[in-house]
Amino acid sequence: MIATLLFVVFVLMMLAGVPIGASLGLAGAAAIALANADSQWFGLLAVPQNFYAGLGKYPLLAIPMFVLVGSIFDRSGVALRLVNFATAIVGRGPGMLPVVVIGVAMFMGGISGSGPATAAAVGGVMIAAMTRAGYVPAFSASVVGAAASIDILIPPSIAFIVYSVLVPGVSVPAIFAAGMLPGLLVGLALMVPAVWLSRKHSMGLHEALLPRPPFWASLREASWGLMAPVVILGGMRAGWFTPTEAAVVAVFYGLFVGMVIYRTIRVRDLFVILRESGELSAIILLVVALAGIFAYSLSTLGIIDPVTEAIVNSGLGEYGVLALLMLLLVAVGMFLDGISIFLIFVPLLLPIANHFHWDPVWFGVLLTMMVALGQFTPPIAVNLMVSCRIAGVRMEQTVPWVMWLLVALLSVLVLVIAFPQVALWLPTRLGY
Amino acid sequence: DTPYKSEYRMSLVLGTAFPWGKGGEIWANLVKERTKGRINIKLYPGVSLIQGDQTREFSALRQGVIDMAVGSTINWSPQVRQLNLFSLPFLMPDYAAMDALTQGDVGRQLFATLDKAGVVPLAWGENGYRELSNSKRAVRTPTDLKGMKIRVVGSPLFLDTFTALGANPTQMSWADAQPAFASGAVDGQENPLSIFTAAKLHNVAQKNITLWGYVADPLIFVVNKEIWASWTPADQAIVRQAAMDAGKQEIAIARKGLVEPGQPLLKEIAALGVTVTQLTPAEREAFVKATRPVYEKWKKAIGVDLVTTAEQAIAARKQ
Amino acid sequence: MPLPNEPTPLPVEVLDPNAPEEKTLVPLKIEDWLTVTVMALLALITFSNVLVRYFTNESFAWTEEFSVFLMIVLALVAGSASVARNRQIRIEFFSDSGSPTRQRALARFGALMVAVLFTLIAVLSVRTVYDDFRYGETSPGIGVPQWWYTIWLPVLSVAIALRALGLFIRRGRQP
Ligand code: NA
Ligand code: NA
Repeated sequence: MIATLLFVVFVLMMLAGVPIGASLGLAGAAAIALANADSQWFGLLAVPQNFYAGLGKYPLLAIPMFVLVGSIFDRSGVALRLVNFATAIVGRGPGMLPVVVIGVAMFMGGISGSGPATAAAVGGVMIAAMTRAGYVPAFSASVVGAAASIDILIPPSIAFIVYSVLVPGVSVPAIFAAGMLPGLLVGLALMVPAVWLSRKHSMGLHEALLPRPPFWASLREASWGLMAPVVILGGMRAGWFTPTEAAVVAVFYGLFVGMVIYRTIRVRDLFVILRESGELSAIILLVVALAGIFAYSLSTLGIIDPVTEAIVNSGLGEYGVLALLMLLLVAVGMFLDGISIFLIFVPLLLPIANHFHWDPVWFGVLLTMMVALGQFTPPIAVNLMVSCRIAGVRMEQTVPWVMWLLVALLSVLVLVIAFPQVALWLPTRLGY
Repeated sequence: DTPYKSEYRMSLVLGTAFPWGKGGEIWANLVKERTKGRINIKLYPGVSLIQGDQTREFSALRQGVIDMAVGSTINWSPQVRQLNLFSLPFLMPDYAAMDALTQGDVGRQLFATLDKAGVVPLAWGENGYRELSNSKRAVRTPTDLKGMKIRVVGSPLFLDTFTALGANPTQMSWADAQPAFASGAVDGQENPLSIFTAAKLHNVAQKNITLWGYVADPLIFVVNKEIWASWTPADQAIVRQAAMDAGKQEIAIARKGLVEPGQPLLKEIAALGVTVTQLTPAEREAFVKATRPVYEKWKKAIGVDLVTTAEQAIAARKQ
Repeated sequence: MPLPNEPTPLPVEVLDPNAPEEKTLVPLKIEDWLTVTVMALLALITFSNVLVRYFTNESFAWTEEFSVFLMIVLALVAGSASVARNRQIRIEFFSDSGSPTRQRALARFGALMVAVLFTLIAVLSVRTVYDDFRYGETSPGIGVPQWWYTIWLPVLSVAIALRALGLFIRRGRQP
């Protein structure tokens, strides 16, 4: 009864456009008050306690720092230099620019922690160039939107940090390592339809006429950007830094590159960068904190156990349940961002995962891949929203192109389900 | 009168794979059985009722966010400074010393303090003696510890102790700590051996254990005051007795393999490829001496009277 | 807020330099400067920790507790600015379509709900601070009085509630 109320109030408020954090907090508080009507203060003292405890976690500090890294590198001009270098490698020809987009997005994914910012950075550099080379703008927007979705799979990833905070026993380095190989595979898989569609529709015919950047000069220019993921991931691997420290080292490295080497960031830009990344971090952190209230009422109302039992005894079997979860999450992913999905669904899904003895790290990678999928699935798709706006197209126009890119990501998803080692090999190998 | 709740929430740090969680489970089962289902208890391991924040568990318990708990003296010391007593380095040389404290005057005094702090304490359990492990070398002297980065739990007393030994203490959550051991970012840690084996720390490069028994954390079985008052005197008696019975059984589980002749648990750990170092009395004395200033400083913070009572109880213990 | 039938705003992750800044009664500069200061402090503390450890093989154990506190302040202070700018994560699908009257009503409803929630948190957390104070709780890391930290929860929650109320009023004034 109270549980039903919890969900009805929550869903209605969300649909009415109430901020997701506030919907979580209010629905949670209402359910707590009703369930503890006889206790002191209606049991509501759980609200500030869970709010404060949900925020006061050291691993969460990695979020503002990785947001800051992303913000600095997006302005540092690294994307442009990576594009030149990638073009120098693959050369000019129909279908090559989409390959460059995907490759550069993968590389930026190794620096930044969320998709939309990468979509903006890569799209800003690439979409106009692709139009000049003869690519349909809706196609370019689709490729950029899909490529930016790899960002949350390739470490660092804010979605992974939130998952590891929610799931005891999953460490940030372990899930970072687990996302690496699937992320690279998704990138490679996206290149297949991107090239095939370019050729089939004779796009990019003017590309061959454009000059090819000189290899060594563009390598020298891009080397500062190429070093960034090495600093972040290598430093963590070597045990020099915790994830948070790795982010901060990357912050100062990025500032050095942006302010001294490329001179794209001026001193007065620092205010905007710090303010903007601070605000974005706060937006994420507030949802995390308020979700703590929701999680408390969810676990004390005693609804997780019956729901889990109903699902595991439904006769669907392990893979049937997994397929059901995928459908559910893809549907939800059309309306919700990845972090909110984790905060709402991980407490519900974890007991199911435990029942089937699914590895929590593997399960986290699967969930993140579904979130990545949702980031470029119309009608609501944060990455596609950004790239469509840069390309000046409506989202509906991207559907015929995005379809094929979805198929590519789905095939990697199936691969990770069939062979969990694709995700788990690297963290096991690294001893996490 | 406040009616009984259909379910009571019990907070635990560790699950039923560990002696700690087992103790909570036994308590819950005994209560359910003896009250004929009038009092149902659900376990929340991982302090999940307050998002895993162990150090706020006691406040949440006092405010009724948590109904009952089996908690560690270390985690509750931010709220009840007297509980730091058990973290005084090298105060308790053996199990008899720990029993002399918890089952004697000191235990009664601490229960009175806990009662004043807003909860109803019922019984003692045990997490265990905290032994030192590391990835670098067998530690026999404080010099061996020099510069080693050691993960400790969140309490200023632990930072003082390890700083005094020349080590480099760092506070981090358990989830962060394990990859830090694997990658070598952190060299060592201190925990009861039951946790060392259950968490398979030998797999994350912790290849050396020193049995120095520098501190031990007892567990305390408690109930929130309002919840306690809502029960009939007969049910209160049942819950109290069940806590005492569960505490006894839990202590036996926690000491398993360590009190039998030949200490079979040590052989099991050695079989995992871990070097187990036992200190001679003279070697142990070097650690005691190095941490003496910390002991004196914290003796004042905890309360000279309480610590003196404890010292006397230990001196007079039955061996 | 986007006027009716304007394109939806960019996701919160992306800075939109063309988005006009609304006027508020109390300048947002207060939160903005605090945000910049706290972000810079967080980065500098963590970075100096890395440097000190690298050069001296020592680390400041106390910085972790202080950094976590700063992060909580960041979430509340910058969160307050984000409430005033209406940049919270939300589902815009239904609330940003339909008649202008409906859009405005839903926008006001959302702002009001934020105000209600943070007023509740402010009131309830006063009790937490009071308990921390009267029982003499100390922080687990440094051992300073816990209320030094928790006192900011009610104070900054009130700030967020007021910012939400401001947004509620501004949305009411729009034609
Ligand atoms: Na990334
Ligand atoms: Na979507």
